[in-house]
Amino acid sequence: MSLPRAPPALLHTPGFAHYSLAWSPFHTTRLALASSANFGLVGNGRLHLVSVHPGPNGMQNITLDKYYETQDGLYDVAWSEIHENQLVTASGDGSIRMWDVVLNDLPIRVWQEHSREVFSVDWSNIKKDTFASSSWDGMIKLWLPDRPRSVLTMQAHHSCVYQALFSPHQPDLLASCSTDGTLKIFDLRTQTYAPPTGGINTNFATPLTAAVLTVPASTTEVLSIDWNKYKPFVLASAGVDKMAKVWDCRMIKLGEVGQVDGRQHLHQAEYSTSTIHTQSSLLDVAGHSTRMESWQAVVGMDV
Amino acid sequence: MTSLDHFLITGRFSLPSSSLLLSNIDARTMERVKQLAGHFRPTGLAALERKNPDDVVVTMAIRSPLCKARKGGFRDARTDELLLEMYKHSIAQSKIDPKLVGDICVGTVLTSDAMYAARSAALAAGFPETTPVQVVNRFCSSGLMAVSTIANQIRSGAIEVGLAVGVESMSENPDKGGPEQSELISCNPASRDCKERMGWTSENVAVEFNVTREEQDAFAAESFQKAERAQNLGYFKDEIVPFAVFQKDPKTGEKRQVIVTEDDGIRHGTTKEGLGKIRPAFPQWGNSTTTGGNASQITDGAAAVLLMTRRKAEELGLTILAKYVITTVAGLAPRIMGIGPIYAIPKALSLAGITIDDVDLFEINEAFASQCVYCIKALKLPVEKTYLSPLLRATGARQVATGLNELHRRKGKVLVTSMCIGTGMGAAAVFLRE
Repeated sequence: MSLPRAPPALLHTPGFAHYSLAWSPFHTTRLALASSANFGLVGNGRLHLVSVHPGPNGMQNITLDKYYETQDGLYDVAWSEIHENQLVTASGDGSIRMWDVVLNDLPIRVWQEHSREVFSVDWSNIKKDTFASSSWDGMIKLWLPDRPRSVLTMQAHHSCVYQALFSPHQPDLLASCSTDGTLKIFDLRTQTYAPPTGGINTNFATPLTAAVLTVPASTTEVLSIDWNKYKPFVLASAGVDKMAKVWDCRMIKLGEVGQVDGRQHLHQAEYSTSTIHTQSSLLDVAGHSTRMESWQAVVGMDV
Repeated sequence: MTSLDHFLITGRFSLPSSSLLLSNIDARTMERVKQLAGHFRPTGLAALERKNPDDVVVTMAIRSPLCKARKGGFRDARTDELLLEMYKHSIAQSKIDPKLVGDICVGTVLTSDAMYAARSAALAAGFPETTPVQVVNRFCSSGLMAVSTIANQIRSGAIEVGLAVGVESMSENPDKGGPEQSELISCNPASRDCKERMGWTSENVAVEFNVTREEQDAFAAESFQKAERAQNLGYFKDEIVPFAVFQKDPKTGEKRQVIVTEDDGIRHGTTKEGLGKIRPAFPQWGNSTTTGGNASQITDGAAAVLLMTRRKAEELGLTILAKYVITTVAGLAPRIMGIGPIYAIPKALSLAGITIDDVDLFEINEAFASQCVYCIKALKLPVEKTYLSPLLRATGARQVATGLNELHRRKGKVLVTSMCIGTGMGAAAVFLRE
């Protein structure tokens, strides 16, 4: 079965590199791109709204419907699970903005609580009125779209939190990953603070929220995680060590879990793994390629 | 509604987000670039400069004075006595409880029953029974092999803290060359070369690579002058620990304890012309260019290097002198063993991911001027960055102590220390000063 594949549909957004993209949960043709000028290092951001339609000869047509400008780079985007036209973006200035695709130019809501870059937003697909954000200030916050302030703030890590994701199976579980090399799982029903760990109590000013599980996933930064949609408690992590690792959170035993050596599979990309996505048995890993503006899906592997 | 919301800030700050951003743009941008730059695995020197809790680091590198065998300060000292002194100083200078030392590795070449001496002296010096000891031997690099063995044990997680020691008393154990070989082995020419004397290999290098007597004498004279200057300026003071040893009165034969504090092999006022008058040491071999003046002395001495993980060093609050990067050994024809560094240095640099230009200090053993001259020529080492260790034996660990001290004095970053090894090998190690 080696039919020639149709060439992929292409969309180029000159000057704006994409940090994240998300399909609409309501419209199969709608895609949102979170983009940043200068690879997100400095400068403006853009939220691109894109339509993908079938064209002649099995080709896909991809068209840019509209875009919204922001004053700092956008790092992530999540569609609302209850309103087909709404979506939120995570921005480098610490703000979270909600957009309505039928309106132009300006967001319908701005939340400014995080003190550093917001790097991920994730809408719960079980508790559909809630979304989570994670930031380089070490916090994870929970939001309801119609409230002016966050409904919950957790000091999840003492360093950058790159991603926070709701479990697709359990509405109260949230996983996070961080510069500190750990992957944590928080249970929103048991909110307590972690006891200070030995020596001087640095916990006093910024008490750390207790995680139900902390996995020392890497000796370097963990940049991305994903829950397995089909097997509860199976998580994948990827990061600066160029390894994609799969964790069964019911039985964490270091060294015994399935570890995929990303170095072999990532074309020995000199750069770190940055996004990860799991299906039932397929794990897609993308990394910074030599040109940061292009993102390369490199491998599908059994896990 | 929407435009109002756009400027409505619900957080702690009462300023609109745009002006907040503008006022902080430089600091924020720098912070962001720094954070994202961390995602890219650095290469070359930048990669080595990264600090990780698992790094193997040196927190102490000391040595004894180096004394001429049979005539110098340690002429009547036994190997186990030198070891005892070295251990005692290690305990005193390490600033740690000796029971934290997970293993001791002693590099020594000629010492017979070295294991007995190594273990018993450790116990006598105050190491607890729980601290094990082993002995390694790879000729001139034995001390470095001890460093490498300890570092690898630390890296593998077998121990957290370890002591590497090098010791040799050529007064007690003169080098008598290789033993008789089975005819099943001596029928192989390269095997036969293994048991030959080191002087023979020096003459071979001089002949094969055209190193003249003049070049060698000029080089050796410069080397003595450098050593004399370094000694006069007190450069060695930071690495030498005073050794209390027995000396016999030459007339009465009475044993008394003396303190030796300085190298006694450095001949002050050495000139190229003076060296030119010395008779060839090996008239029977090659062009007979090697003399007692342009070859290294035979030496008694010891050195010790304390290694541990960065995590442990920080926990104990110790000053980190350097990060251990890698040690590598290369092989070559036994007949020209002296040029081993030519093979070992590029191998070590490539394993460390750096180039000759990244190195601030090269330290090569100066067994013979012939091999040293050719090594520098062949590797195109910049003269101002090359530091030579004009001594045979007590080489490996001692070069680490001297090299790190000199690197510190020069405020350099990268040290490559290398030596040739009898029977045809070369070793090289890379250290990064903190």
